[in-house]
This record gives sequence, C-alpha cells and structure tokens, in this order.
Amino acid sequence: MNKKGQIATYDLLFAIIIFMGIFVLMNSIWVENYSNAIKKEETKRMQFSAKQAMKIFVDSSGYPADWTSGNVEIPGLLREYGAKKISNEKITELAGMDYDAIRSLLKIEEYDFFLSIDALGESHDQNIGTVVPANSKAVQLERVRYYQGGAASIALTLFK
Amino acid sequence: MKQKKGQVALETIAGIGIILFMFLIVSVDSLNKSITQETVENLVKDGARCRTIAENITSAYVQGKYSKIEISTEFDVNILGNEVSVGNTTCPVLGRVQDAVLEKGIIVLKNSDGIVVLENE
Repeated sequence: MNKKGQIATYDLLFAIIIFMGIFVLMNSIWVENYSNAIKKEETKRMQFSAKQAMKIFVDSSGYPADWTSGNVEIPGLLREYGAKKISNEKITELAGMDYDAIRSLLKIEEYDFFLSIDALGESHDQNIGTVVPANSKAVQLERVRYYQGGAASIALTLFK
Repeated sequence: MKQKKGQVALETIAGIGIILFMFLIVSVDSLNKSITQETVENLVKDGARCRTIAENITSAYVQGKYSKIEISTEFDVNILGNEVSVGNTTCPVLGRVQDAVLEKGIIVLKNSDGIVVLENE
C-alpha cells in the first residue's frame, strides 16, 4: 500500500477545508459590507425625502399661493412667502386631502408619513398621515413656526 | 503497477487540478465582486450629487422670487419633468423647475417668478 500518496491526499483535503473556510468567511464579510452600504444609501435617500418635504411644508406657501385641496400642486403651509406663519386654512385643506395624493405631491410614494402640529392651544393640534409603527425604519424632522398666535412644533416622520 | 521514473502520481495530478479549479472560482468571484462594488460606489456617488442639486433647487424655490444660488459641479446634470438626473441616478425635485441640460462647471439657479431656472455660467 502506498502511504506517501495517502499522506498527500490528507494534506490536500486539509488545505481545501481551510481554504473553503477562509473563502466563506471573506465572502460573508463582503456581503455584510455590501448590504450595509445599500442600507446607508437608503437611509440617506429617506433623509433627503424628509428634508425636501419638510422644506416645502414649512418654508414655502405652496403653489398656487392660495391653494385648495382641489388645485394644489405644491402643498406649502406658509401664509405667504417670507412669512414664518403657518396658515390655518392650508392645514385644514391638507388634513382633508387623500393620504396617497399628499404622498404623490411630495414624491414620497415609497414611504408612509405622519405630520404632527403641536400648537400652543391643544385645540389647534393637528395630526395628518399614518401612525408610525413601533418597529419601522423612520426619519423624523422637527421645525418651529408661528401658528395660531404662538410657536408650534411641526414634526414630520417618514417611515417604511 | 510498478512506478517508473518520470511518471506523476495520480494524487499530484488531482491536487493540481483542484488548485487550478479553486483559483478559477476565486478569480470569477473577485471579478463579480469588483463589478458589483463599482456599481454600488457609482450609485452612492451619483446619489449624493443628485441630492445636492435637488436640495439647491428646492432651496432656490422656497427662498422666493429673485433668489439666486451658484454651485460648482464636476459632472453633467439633466433636469426633466421635475427630476434631476446625474449619471444613472435620478432624484425628485419638489418645487417648480424648468427642464435643463447642463454641463459640468458653474451652474446658476435663479428663481424667476416662482420657477427655478438653471443655466451654465
């Protein structure tokens, strides 16, 4: 019986097992890095969409300037350009609009949103959109604007 | 069988074959990975560029009439139907913007009567 050949075969088998182990490990590290990069990019896109939507809501008066739910193209909530006052009429119009129509106008169809306006008097508080589920991936932005005679906190949450 | 000089053991041939096969697997795999990595890098790079342009357009829009923003780019930009396109990536613009085909260099964004107009300087 040729023992030399047997020893060589065992050595080769051992080397292949070690090689396969290292290969699988390196591969899983690469896949992990790849999925992290994709996740990071998705988060950036989500943050971008939230920032854009928030900017339109609290820094613009929208288009047309005196828009209603029937003719709105850009749902800005300011009373007029330059003023930092949120229009009560526009909030009411927005609250009465179809949820998907708002998402389409803000180009956030791939996300859900929740807009909350926390005013000085509780009676002026408004919530528009869908309640954020506990385990969702979410981005939240908050701004303060003048609304109904006082400062109001406006928070927009985009989630998936 | 008696082993003659110059003959190679079957184990040696099999070993060399396996090593070559594994080398082939590693080569194909690393080529695939480098292509995927390049695609992801371009996606991330173009995505960041696209978002920067879109954010500036929205800023010029919300700042109101006669606002002007100048940006310097090292890439071509297309704007079509409220979408910014950089490389193979597109991103949406909120606000009113005129369609434009722009070359790399200085780009001027002007809010002209509520519509953002982009031009190369």
